[in-house]
Amino acid sequence: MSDAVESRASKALKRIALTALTFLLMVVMCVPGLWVVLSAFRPNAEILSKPPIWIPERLTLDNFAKIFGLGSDQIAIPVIAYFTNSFVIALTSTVIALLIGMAGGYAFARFRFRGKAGIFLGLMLFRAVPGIALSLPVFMLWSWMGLIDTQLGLIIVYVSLNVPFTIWLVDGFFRQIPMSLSEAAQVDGCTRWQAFWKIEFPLARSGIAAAGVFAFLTSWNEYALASQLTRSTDSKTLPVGLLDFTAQFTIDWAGMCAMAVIIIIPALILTFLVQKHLIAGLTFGGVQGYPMAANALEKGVKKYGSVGVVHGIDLRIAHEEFVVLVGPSGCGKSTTLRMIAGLEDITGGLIRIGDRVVNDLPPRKRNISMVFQNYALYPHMNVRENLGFGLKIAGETPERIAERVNEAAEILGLTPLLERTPAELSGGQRQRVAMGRAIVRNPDAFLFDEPLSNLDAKLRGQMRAEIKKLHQKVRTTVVYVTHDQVEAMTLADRIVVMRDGHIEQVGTPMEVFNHPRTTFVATFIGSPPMNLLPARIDGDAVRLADGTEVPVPDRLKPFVADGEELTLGIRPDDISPVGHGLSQDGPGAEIELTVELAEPLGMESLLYTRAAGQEVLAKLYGPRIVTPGERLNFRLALDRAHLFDTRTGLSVRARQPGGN
Amino acid sequence: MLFRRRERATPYLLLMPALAIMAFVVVIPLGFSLYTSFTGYRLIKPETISDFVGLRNYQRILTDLEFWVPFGRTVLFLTVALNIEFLLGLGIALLINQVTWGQRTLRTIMMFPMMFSPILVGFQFKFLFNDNIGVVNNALQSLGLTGFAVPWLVDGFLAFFSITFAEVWMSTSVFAILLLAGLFAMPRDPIEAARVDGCNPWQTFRHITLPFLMPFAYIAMAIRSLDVARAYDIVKVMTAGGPAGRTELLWTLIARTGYENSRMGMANSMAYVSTILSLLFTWYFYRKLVAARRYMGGLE
Repeated sequence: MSDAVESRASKALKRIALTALTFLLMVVMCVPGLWVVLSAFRPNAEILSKPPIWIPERLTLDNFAKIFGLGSDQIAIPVIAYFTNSFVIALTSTVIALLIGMAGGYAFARFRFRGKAGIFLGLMLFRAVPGIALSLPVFMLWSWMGLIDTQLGLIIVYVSLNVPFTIWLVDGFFRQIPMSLSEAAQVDGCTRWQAFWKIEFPLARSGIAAAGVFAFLTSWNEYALASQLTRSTDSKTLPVGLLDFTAQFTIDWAGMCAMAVIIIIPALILTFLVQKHLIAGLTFGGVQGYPMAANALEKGVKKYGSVGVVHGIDLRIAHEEFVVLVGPSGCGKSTTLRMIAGLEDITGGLIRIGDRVVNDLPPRKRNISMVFQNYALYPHMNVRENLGFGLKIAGETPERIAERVNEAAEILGLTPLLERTPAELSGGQRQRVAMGRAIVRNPDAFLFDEPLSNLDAKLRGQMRAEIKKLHQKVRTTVVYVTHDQVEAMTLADRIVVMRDGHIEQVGTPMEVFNHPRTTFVATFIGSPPMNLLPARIDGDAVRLADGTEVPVPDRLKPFVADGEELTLGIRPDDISPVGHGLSQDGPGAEIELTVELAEPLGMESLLYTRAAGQEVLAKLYGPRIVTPGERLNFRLALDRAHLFDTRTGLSVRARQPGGN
Repeated sequence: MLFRRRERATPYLLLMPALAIMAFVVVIPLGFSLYTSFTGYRLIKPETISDFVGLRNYQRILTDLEFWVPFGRTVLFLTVALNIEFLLGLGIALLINQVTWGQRTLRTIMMFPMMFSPILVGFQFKFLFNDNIGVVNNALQSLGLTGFAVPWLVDGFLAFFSITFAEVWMSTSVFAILLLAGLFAMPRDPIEAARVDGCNPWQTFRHITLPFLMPFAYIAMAIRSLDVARAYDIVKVMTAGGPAGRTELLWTLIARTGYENSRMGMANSMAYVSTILSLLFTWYFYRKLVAARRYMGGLE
């Protein structure tokens, strides 16, 4: 016990020592700079005294007075002119570079276009041209254009110096902001420009501030180019002015130190003011490696999209219907949804909402609302503002907005949370706000893009029920995308099963479950998935690979031909040990199988058996213990079995006209 | 994101001002300097601009030790300075990362040298290293460590050391801050996993932390490569390439040839060589950066 205490104490001691050491080191690192600053406030004699006087005996502003020409020994250094030049040139070039860099950075962060990587690298490489090397031709060209010794001449150069790095930082910063925020704003009724101005710009503000400070400091401190391009007080900047203190063999150190302070102070103030942003700016903007990975993924999917993830979808959604698009990832369901929203371009065909063709309408004109997978809540607005944003953009009156927002908050139980920001909400609450944002606008259709996939299992179940209730309350058309077949089954009026950009089947949950049109649907919907066994029709029997025969179900007889190679599909629920199934009547067959593994789930057990050399899942109802290796007589409920064309995967019923 | 056909031009429109200004200030002048580098242009004789001499300037500089020695020295200077900056920056970042109390203040202090104009840094160290009145010698002598004034800026080797010192002082913060950002972004799990797998602290650092930090180091290198030529300001002020050319770097050589000796044609050909050196440098680290990103991206 005392050991633990001791080690904790020694750990704390170590930590204190480490902290002190680090502080000491950092201060030592600053000493050269501090010495200059200190010297600026000391009389010349003291600066030059031997041995050095470490602690100043008195501090004085004489050096400053001197360089401003106030002292007795007048050296005329036009500090004020230099300062003004520096300030005007640095500020103007910063503002222009920011505007240009913001436009460029935004283009890189948010668009795909030809030559993107090349242009980016090119901009960086141009920036890498050494200042002194660049100064030679610029000096010659500027001389001819009469730009030497003008503020404008230097401003132009500094803008070009700052644009590449500004683009880099701004690009990095915009990438940090999920694209879905801008998309959400556009769905909420913003134009692209409004989405930028109201959502993306405020969020990127700190990055832009950081970029601005860097640009300002670069211009403020630049010497190599300025020294060649300026001549007189018309345009000379402070760094160039420093040389005024050097004569042939002597340097006026005291004056120079004072001048140094004048140069450093604005830089320090500026840096200190945006210190927080500066670090964030560098960490986010400069270090964009990690988000870029995510971004690349997104691009990959989109590229996929442009090659055509979605082929000829033909789907009519009825008024107030709840339609769920379901399929494995990459099947094109999200792309389809984004096409409906207008976030993805379509290359052919028509999209109609109500009786309007909306192909070429931007999202804001489609009167839809969308709930994004990551919710896309605007982080800089509280819940109330998030909910009301779309209405505000639409120009609703504050009273009307408040009314609608309160109504929606009431429906979703958000009323106590209205003043919180998204960061202060739990996952489920964010989810509700996202839905609230969708319903306040009273849209023609709700689009949900995997809205529950970021929630844990329990919350997901709860929210699923809430969405269902919400739909019953609000009765609007819903298009809902998910990869979870349980969500599809429980929520949908109609399910659309998709694979590889094609619709596999459209139907009510029960239709899709009871009459899967293809083997894909058969295995995708329902859990555990349907067993599929290769088989051959032999007269009135289905013969499995190992020779086991079961009768062809009566209802499928008209659809099969003798000798045909088919796939027999039967759900685990329809294979049970005799006496332990759900229903024991109707046509069936009995076969004896060995249980290889049993998973008891309480009231039922999953049995892993083997038939015709293949693993077959079966279900046992009722609390009975089954031991592995046990041989049991299983009953197949053949009235619920399916036969699929082995070659096409189509249900035999779907092959025939009039079949399902 | 909207990629409507009519918006296909948007990114180009947005980039137009950036490309225009870069063309005006960089591309056109570079083209012009390329031309000039094939002439015997002298500033004091304007008519010599049309005095086309083909590759003579390049031939001369490439066969001239007066060019190759500064060239080699520049490469040496950059290699030494950047490596020291990286190591020191890494050390500072690791230290600050350990500190829990006052970390924000430490970061602010650390950024202090970044605020200094390179020309100011040059004067500052010229002031400190001055063999006569500089505080360094002053202190060394009054502490009795040396009996004489150390010729910091007069002796060739010491002068090279001094300019490297100044450059390192100015730019270490850039590495420190970016590597610190990397440490902040570092996930805990791999470190803990390594510890469970039996790594000692050094092994953890060597095999987990350091590889993770490398992309950040490349970012720092890439950023630094954009403005390493700012060291020109420092050298110009501290030694002006002296004594007797012992600290002459490509950049000071260019300035001397072009502006002081007015041999613009020659200077432009040197500038071209130095530009290509810079571009290769930037390009190299940019490639490294992209590759490292892709690699790290695969991990996530």
